[in-house]
Amino acid sequence: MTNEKKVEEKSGLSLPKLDERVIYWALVVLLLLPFFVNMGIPLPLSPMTQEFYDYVDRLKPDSVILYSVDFGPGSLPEIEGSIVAVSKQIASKPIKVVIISVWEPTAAPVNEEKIVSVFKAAGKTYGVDYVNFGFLPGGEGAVARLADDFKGILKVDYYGNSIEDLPMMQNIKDATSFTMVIDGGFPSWLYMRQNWVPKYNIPLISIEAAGSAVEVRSMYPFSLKAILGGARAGAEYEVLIKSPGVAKKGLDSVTFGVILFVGTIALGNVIYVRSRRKK
Amino acid sequence: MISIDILIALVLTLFVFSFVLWRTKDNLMYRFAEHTFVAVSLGNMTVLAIKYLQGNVINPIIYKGDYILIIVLILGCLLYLRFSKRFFYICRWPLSFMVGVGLGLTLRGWTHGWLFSGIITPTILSLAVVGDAFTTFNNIFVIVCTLTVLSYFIFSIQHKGALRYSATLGRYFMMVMFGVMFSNYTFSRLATLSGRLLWVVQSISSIFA
Repeated sequence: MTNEKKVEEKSGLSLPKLDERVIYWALVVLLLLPFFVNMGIPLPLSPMTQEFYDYVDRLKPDSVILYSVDFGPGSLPEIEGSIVAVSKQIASKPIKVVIISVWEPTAAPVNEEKIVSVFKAAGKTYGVDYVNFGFLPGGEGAVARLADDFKGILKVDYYGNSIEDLPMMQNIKDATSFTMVIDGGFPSWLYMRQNWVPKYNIPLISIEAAGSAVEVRSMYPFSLKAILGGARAGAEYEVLIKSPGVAKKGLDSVTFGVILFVGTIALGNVIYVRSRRKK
Repeated sequence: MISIDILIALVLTLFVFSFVLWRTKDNLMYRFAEHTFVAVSLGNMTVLAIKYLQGNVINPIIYKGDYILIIVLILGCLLYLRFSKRFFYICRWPLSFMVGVGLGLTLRGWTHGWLFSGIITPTILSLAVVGDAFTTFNNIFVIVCTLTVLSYFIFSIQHKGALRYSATLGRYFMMVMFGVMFSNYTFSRLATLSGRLLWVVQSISSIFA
């Protein structure tokens, strides 16, 4: 028995019927509208986003960061704005970057498309300014080992080059060779926080989807120094680095979707209460 | 000119959307996209695992004489004895090794990561901040929330008297947290849908451009 029928049976009311596809189509229209019409919804900057920006901005020349990003194609639309904006900021600085993914196997091609392409466009040299290790299987055990002996677990990069042939990797030994860890994705920050932060005291900042940003909030500012949470943070970051992208329009789009949700829930309840009163 | 990979992605995306926008139920197109996704994900993971094994285990053994890795390789292969009726018990050896390592890492990591920096450190707060009433209230609230929620999980004693009230309050706090999490996940999924819809529109317009 469907929930609708259960409610009808329990209350003795006959609720008005509505084809749910009407709501789906309304959602499609409302989600797409802001991409074609400028809504001009204001976007105040949150302190957490500013803090994340400042952490990256304060990195000294020749600092080495571990950029561990684990977003697959499924979560990419939400987080793309943040990833691209943060990558642009990193690429604008004279720092060295080690790109890796430790949880999501499909993240490697995504990182190639969204992060490596930004570094290439900024004129960074592969092997000198950045290295991409693709996906590292083995979960938490592999991440723990990576902290203790980086070259002991990674012998080749994503493209099959030996780690010994990459100039940037000559001075990398273990977690102490890194200045900071920027992590993206829910379980991978956990691995980093449990194995890189306590033992080596490496600052960890994290890019999270809106859902998991709530879960990691209690770690701020203790083991997580800054959090960039969801599509909103991505939109704010685009404003901060003065490089507008799709994230701001995406945020307007989601706002419209939420308004529809709230509206339909309210309308449903009003109809229910009115039917009850009539009875 | 649209590329073949974008065309495939577009068709499969529309197949997935057919579930809700066409007949609001399972259909052949949706099932095709679903099964293709599962198969491609599995294939991708297998290729990545083989690539990793080749680059980080097999090649170092052959070309660099890193013979210690042979032990790891053998342990990995022993897992497949699970499919043998006669020798299946041997697969427990590498499994016990993995469980041992996992447990050790978890104990170390969770003790520090969750217990200390997740619960204890954030709740060591000043109960009275002079001249800042909001922070004072916030600190007291954080401590009350943490203690009442923890009290909900005390199952060794029957929830009676003060513990009953504390556990009930803790349950309400958890409900608020679940509500916040639910709304954030809704926001998250909407953002994903919005991004995908934009991609579909852009891909379709590129076909007709």
